[in-house]
Amino acid sequence: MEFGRSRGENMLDLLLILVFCVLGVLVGIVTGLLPGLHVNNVALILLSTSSSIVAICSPLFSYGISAQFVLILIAGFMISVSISHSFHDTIPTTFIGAPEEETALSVLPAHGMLLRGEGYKAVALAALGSYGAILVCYAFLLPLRFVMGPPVSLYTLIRESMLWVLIAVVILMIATEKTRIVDLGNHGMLPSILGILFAAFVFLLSGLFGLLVFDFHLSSPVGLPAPVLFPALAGLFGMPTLLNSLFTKPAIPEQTIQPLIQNRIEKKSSAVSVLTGSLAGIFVSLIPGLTTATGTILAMTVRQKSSQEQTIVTLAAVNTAATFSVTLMLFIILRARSGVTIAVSELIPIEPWSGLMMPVTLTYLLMFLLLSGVLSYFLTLYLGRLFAKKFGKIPYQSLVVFTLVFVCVLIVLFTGLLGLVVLFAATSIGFLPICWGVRRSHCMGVLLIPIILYFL
Amino acid sequence: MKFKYLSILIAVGSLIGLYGLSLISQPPQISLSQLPAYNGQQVLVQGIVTEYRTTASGSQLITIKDRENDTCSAVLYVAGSVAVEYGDVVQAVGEVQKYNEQWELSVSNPQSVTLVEKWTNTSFPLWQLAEHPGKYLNTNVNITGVVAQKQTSSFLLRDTAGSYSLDVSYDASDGSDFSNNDVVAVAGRFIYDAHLLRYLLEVTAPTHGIWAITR
Repeated sequence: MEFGRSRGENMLDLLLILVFCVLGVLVGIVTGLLPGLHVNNVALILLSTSSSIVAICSPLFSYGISAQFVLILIAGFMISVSISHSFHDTIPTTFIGAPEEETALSVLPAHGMLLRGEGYKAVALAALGSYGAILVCYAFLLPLRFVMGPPVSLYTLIRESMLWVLIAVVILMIATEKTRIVDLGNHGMLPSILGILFAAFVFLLSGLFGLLVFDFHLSSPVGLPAPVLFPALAGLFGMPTLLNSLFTKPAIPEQTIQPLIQNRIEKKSSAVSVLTGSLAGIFVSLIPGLTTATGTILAMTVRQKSSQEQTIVTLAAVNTAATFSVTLMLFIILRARSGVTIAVSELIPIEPWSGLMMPVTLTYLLMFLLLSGVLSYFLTLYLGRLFAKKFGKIPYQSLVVFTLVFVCVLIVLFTGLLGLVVLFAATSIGFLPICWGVRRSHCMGVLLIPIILYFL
Repeated sequence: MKFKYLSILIAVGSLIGLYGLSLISQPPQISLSQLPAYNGQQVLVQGIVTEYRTTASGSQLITIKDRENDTCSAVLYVAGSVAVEYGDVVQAVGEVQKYNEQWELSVSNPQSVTLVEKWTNTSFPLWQLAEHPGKYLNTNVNITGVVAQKQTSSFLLRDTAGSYSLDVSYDASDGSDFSNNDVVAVAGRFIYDAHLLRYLLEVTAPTHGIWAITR
């Protein structure tokens, strides 16, 4: 009897995990499909609503489920949202915001494929990269535990030389800027040097902006927490792309929809992309202030020559590996490096993974990671196909306008009118890379410069 | 002008605008005695930590008192926790409110509490403590003086002129090496011992200690 009952309870536990995971994936689809909503912003929103999520789930307590398990379910829900978001946001980044090819200074790889009628293939490649990253991260679970934690304790070494790691990354980021600026003439090294100088300019400007706004005291008119990062990141990264796509109306050809078939060389190449991307994703999850965009630059520098296709695979792998790895690092180096993990660490007590056996909480969260990864993979392919098919019929401009208004409303609700001022300033800086064709990741100066100054 | 040149101007301009705004929007810095006049507003205050504890819900209550006027104190109600010690000078931004007849500052972000001066970094001679005991009561202090009447777990700290002396109680087991007539720096908490109606310097916490300067 005892055995039967406990098996019944285990079944209930599994069922609940499944339900919360599916819910998380569904929410992640919504946030992922909304263009311009970065996963960091989603995390901030989740973080500030986590107490209400706990309140909504309170009826579960009366069904004999321990409070701790309910909190784990909620943490798992948030992780599923972030994983699902990291899969699905490739759909709007592919289908929305493409510039006109002749006038654009730089075309993102996914937009390039869209303009060739291969939008679905771009989504499929991204889904492949994300899914591959999850598998790579799983394979690296134990090695990461022993390399980052004791006995090798590589993280301690990194922590001691954090300042130099950060400075090296910044130099790499700026020096590898390949955009040529020909405004002052087009001979010799001048255009390339100007490109690098402009990249440094954007980086410094974002850094000044960061130093300024972190001293700002925003307050929410409705009593919500007012994270200054929300308008800052939305302005630097989200708004400019959206506004840009409002002003340009590219002619997008009919999309071909074929299942992704790769020959042997392409398969091998994809495997290398997934591996380098995943390692870069794991690296950025260790260092404060680095985002996946920086991780992509690192991975691409390692990979050197690369096609648009492989860039997409790498980018997706970095994104998902970082999302996966921050959860893992929460238990190994005990640092919360993303909004989602901050929320998780506030919900549940984090037992460090110090022995051979991993903490039970982590095993549960890994179940969420794997399950949401598999679900998101198939859903991304399905939705990508749907988008590619119905692309002509989607009221594209209204969707973009809706998102712009939605983000602004959220910002006013969370950070008041002053938040809108911060958003405006951030957007004006975020426009620079788009107008001049340099990489947008230079805007990460907003976090990197304050962090470097902190370590100095 | 092309939009791309204009974009640089707009970006730089908006940053300057933001800077101007940050100058205006900085909450006013007030002394603790002015708190009642700012009820419900965001302000910036400074003070010395005399008491701190963490509540069951994980918030931290830090009592600070004015650096100039030691009868004036306020509680910082911090959502989260901040590493502080008795005697640290801290600065905090928060909303003024009254709770149980005591003025307090509700600090929603622990990062709004910043350390201005660590207590260990300021050491001063005994006479300064003797002339303003109220200013330092219940805080950690770092006092220099001469050892006299050393016993197993207490001694008398005298100033070099011999006009003031203070009882010091310490834990003999942690191996402090000093003897009578040494000039020492004593880091401890300055408290009032109600049983014996006297002031006392207690050397108990891990950050406390006694170090011989000259023998």
